[in-house]
Amino acid sequence: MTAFLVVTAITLLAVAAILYVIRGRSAPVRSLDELTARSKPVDLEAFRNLVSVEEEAYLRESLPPRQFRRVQRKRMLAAAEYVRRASHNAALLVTLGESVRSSNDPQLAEAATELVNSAIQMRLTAILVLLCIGIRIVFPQTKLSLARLTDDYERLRGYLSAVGRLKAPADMGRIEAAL
Amino acid sequence: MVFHVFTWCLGPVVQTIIATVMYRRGAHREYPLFFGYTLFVLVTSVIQLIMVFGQKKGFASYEAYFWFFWICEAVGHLLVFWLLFTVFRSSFAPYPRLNAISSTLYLTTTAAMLAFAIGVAVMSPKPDSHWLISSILSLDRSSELLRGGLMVFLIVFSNWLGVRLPHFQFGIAVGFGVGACLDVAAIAFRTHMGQSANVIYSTLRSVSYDLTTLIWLYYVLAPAREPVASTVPSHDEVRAWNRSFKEMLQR
Repeated sequence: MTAFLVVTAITLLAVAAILYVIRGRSAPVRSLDELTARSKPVDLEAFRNLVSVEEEAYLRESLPPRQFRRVQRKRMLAAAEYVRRASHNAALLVTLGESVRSSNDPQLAEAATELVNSAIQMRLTAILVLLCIGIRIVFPQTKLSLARLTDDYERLRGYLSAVGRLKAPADMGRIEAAL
Repeated sequence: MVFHVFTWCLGPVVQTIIATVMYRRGAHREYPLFFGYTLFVLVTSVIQLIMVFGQKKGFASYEAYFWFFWICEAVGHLLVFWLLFTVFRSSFAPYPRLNAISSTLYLTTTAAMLAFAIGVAVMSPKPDSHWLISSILSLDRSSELLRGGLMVFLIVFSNWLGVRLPHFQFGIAVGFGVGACLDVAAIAFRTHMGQSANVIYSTLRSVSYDLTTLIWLYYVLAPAREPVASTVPSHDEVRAWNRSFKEMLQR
């Protein structure tokens, strides 16, 4: 009975997931304006501060162990929110890049391809970083580097700038501020 | 009885239409493995039908039908997994980062689904006294779990990344995914209920196959919806329109 119920529940969930994807496929980001409306701002400086090794070492020395673990958990939860935002923005950039890739302008198409690849890389990095953050929330004493995410996000912004310069140069400030 | 015959016939009829449309549009060159699989299923279905009638007319034996059926099943399963691997690889091929890890993703998903299938097989009861029927149902369920898991993973993962699978490739994945899920549910039902559920089980399997072929037919016939760039005018464009409008007013 248990196996029957488990298998039936999983298959229903799987069919629901497929239907959800089929419905959602019609809503990609198609323009830079739409991107600024749907993106979530990421404060990279604040994120760097949250995952800074020096900052962590300073807190470890200045606070009693129990308080350090509590503070460190809160810092990691905040960092996780930044990662989720960065990952969300990367997903938007994949769909934007996909829509621009078919452009007749070869320069724009190439820039869009770079943007898509970089955004995919960012999404994959975000999974690993979230995993590391999860470990650090459970075991605050663990030392795992999370700095890779900022490098990937900076690179992603760079590729978006390349697309933006070709597609809507006057809006670059607004687009960069949105990310 | 009429419904049973209808569900049995619908799948091959729809696959005939799919094969014809693909051939006429030249899609068989783009998806040779899927086209080959469609032809394989069609030809073997027709031969099996002839052999079933042949048994009644006396020119075919049950033993010949038995061996032909199970050899076709085995070859069909191998073909499907080869096809799924091709769909997996080609879906990620345009993205260098994903292309590099596509084989790893395929193998990891396969291993995870195999572990799940073994878990389900261990947990499931064995209602059939004949070990061969129990083993076949268990193997069939494992194969369907693997097929469904691979396709659901491909669909959900690519959607999570924001990657848009090519129209027909997406259709193949959806067809195999939905079909495998329904098959797994049907096998779980049959395993749970025992031999008394044989008629419902066989109808459910036919309906699942029909639904799979209807999904493929939809994706073969429906035109691909390509992403349209910039449906909303950018600020730059609006400013340019304003400039032109002002110039027009000043004339």
